[in-house]
Amino acid sequence: MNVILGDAGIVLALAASLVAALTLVIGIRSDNKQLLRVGAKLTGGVFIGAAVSFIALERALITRDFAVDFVAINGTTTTALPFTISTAWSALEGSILLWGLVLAGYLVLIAWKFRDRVEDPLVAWALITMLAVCVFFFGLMTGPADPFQSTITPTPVEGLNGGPNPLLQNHMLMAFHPPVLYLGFVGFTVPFAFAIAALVTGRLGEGWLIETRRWSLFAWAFLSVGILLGAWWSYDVLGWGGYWGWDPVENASLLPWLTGTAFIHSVMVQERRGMLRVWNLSLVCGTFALTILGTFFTRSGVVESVHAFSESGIGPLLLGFFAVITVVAVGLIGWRGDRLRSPGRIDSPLSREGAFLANNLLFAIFAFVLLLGMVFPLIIEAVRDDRITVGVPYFERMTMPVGMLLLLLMAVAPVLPWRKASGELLRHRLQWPAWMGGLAVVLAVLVGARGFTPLLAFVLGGFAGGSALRQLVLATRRNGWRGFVGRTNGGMIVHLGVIIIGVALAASNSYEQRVEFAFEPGQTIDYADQSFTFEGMRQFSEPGRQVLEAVVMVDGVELNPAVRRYIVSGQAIGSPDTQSTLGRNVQLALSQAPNENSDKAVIRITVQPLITWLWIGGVILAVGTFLSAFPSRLHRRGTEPVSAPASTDEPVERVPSPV
Amino acid sequence: MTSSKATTKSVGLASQWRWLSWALLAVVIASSLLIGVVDNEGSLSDAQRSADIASSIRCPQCTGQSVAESDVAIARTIRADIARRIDGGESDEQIRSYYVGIYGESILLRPSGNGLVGLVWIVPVVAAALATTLLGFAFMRWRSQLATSTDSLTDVSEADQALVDAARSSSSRSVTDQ
Amino acid sequence: MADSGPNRSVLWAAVVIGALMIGFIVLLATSESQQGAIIADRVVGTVPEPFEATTVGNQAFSTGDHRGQWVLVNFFAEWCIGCRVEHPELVEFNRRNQPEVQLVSVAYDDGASVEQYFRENGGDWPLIANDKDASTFALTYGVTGVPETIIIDPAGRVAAKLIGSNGVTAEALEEALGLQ
Repeated sequence: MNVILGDAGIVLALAASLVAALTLVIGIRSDNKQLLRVGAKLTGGVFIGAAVSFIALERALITRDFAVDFVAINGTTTTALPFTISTAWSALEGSILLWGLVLAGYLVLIAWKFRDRVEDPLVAWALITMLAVCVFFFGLMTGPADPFQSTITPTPVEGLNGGPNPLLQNHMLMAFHPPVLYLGFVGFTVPFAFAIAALVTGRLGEGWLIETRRWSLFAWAFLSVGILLGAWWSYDVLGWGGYWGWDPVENASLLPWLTGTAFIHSVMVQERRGMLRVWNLSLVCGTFALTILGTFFTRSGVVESVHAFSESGIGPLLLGFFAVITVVAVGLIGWRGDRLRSPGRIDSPLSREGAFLANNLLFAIFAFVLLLGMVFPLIIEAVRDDRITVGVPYFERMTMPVGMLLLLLMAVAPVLPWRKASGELLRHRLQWPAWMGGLAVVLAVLVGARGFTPLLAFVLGGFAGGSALRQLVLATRRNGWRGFVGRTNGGMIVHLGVIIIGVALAASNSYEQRVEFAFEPGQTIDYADQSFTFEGMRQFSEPGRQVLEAVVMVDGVELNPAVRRYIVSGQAIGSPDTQSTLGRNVQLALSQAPNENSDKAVIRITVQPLITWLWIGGVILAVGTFLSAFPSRLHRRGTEPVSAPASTDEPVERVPSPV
Repeated sequence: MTSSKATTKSVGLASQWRWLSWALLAVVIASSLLIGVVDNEGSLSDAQRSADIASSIRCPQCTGQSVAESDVAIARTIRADIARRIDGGESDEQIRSYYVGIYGESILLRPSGNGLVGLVWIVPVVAAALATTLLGFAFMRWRSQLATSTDSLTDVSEADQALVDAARSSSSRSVTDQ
Repeated sequence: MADSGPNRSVLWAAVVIGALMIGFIVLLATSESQQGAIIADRVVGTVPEPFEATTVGNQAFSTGDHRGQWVLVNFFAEWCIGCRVEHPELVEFNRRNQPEVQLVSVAYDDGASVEQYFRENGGDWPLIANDKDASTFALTYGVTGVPETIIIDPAGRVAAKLIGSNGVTAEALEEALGLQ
């Protein structure tokens, strides 16, 4: 029953995508408005198919329908309900289905939002592009990534592997991290679709940018939060205080974030000055292509990663899709090159436009370093047949200066006016922010912080934070509570979030203290200004697993680092325990439990400052993005003098026009 | 006249104060950084050396983790071995090359700086320098275009000129009509 | 305003970028899978220095004492499913090929449980279960995990490393070593 429903859903979605796309294409060619309206309505079929299919999968998992291969391989009778639901995206086929569902969701949202304008070829082509992507993903599901195969005979009565990988059943964030991440990845399909539509129709003015601004912003926010959720999850389960390992799959998710961030900044240059059209088109197509490339890396086995799904046949198909996207995008941009000539010129590097260009340059370098680091072992192996590793030391060393420069840019850019600024203006506006930077580093040194890199991060962080706060203060002084909404103000709040994350990154990395100690029962040690007492062990069972936990008193607070042994698979997973405060985090992990040979418990202690601020910064980032999506009601007044203070108002929404 | 002299004088004072405050700020920041760096000197303890080397050696059984982070048996073995070698007086270089001798180049998380592999360090720096230079050239080109060709920005095509003339003549007619 | 200038430059950029992308895609398409890749192994072909180790029976064991025999150094962990799968094969192999082969097992992780397993499941050959010697064995032969079996030829040279239990049967070993 589930198999039939599921397969039917996928076939429906695929068929609807094909038919809708064809209808729209014919509608455009023959200039038939009726057909275009029908085509737009048919997108509903894609969503219905995807939803039916997804519900069928969840139903199969929850009812333990082991006739479905996916459930037999990944499900079990002993997993708790939340993890049963998240089992859907814990393995390859289900994750592709989730991607398809999110994609179909965005598709119908776009079709609904633009339902009055579906007769406009630009909108129609955007829908066609999105439908083409749907055809690919639902096509995958009819073949190599089909979650509804039913080949295992006899039908098992219990999950074959004891459930999904124990690492994926151990933490609540498994339920949130992939869906939020996909909302980000898939969200970038929307601006990509409009970019392709603009290229195809030749309507290369600023219209498509304005239409999709909010979509790009929300996709970016979801991606940012998704990445942070992944970092939080890593931190909670790894046991040595790590939250970012420069793992190839992590890098693959960061790449579209980098180009996406560059895009949402340089888009503002195009809106104001009509420039950088080729660059922006390339950025948005590149961002989408990178999401597909990231999906490829995660599922193809070409790079070695903790996060990778087991190898399957869809790697080559994903790579092929990536190739198609690249060829189409590069081809279209090359073909339309003549229409992309812009009349504007940038007056001076010391201007907001210049700052955005610098922003793009830095993010491009960052992305380049990441991509090179990921791909270099493959190059070396192809050339020399010798394996090398490009690991954490490389990425940390190379991205640190870029990060510092970005902080500096975040300090200077918000005070820069459009077109041209003078040194006098800068010196005047940057005074308070600069003093905040000075204050930050003085306080840090007084508190005892040492080391050039973190102190530099504090200076720049204080500087940049001061700049963002200055903008917000000015805006609220002028407009009251409206000083918190709108693109510029919301953007400043987002900057604050990013700055907090950056400073927390620097501090938690530079000042971490880690030690592994073999405790006798009842022993107390003093470490990092705290006392740790090992009191004993405790053993109990949870559904599907045996738990062995240590009882450790940390300054009176009980922490329980544990090891969970999953019964069916035999795998033992460490479950560290963390005490989080605003100032510092203490994480304990049980490296070795007492056994017949020794009654000592080897416990790893990691103490890091400011970890909680990573997550707080993430919340501020999300709130800021939400606020920036709201327009402030006031419109820009008349013409702007050259060195006017940065406008906190929204520009007048422009009607999309042909070039 | 006197008021403008007074304002010039007060503006002069104000900008002097501003320069002074920036200079003061520079001193404050520089001295804090100096304290922060100099106070940090001191050779690494053995435990720290051990941790440093351990975090640069990849755990052979894991995917990408260092032996400092992983808890598998071979990682613990290597950690203990590193500590033993440090006690035995071996240098960082000797310890690292011992492991390279057993497991090969890929046991090191940090790619070497020599030879073909060293390119991974150099290429991004070169690419960044190249990109910055190109951007600089673009700025210079834009500057010169703006400076020299203000007339060309106002060059209009003949068709546009005809439109403007037609509009002008019709509007001037309407003006005279009034 | 030069019409063809900017037009050409975009076209040229597109061509260059297109070519780079094609190269990139070809590189990815032709790269071997790295999943489960084991670190390149420098030990095979070398002649490691023999060293003394103490077995669980408190006997001394050294690979140097067994020149002229094929020595199989097998790394074992009690929780390792593959190890348990190949163990009976090794028992059979040992039984059939005495005295040309000498097996020795080294406990990888938790020597006590390995000792227990061997007591219950057979394996009539030296077992090294103390931490110090086990570590020396592991590092000398560049072990990356379990199960791993290092095959040392009668001249003392490391002939091969078997990683994983796939294909480790008594017949296969005999064929590989020419012992039929």
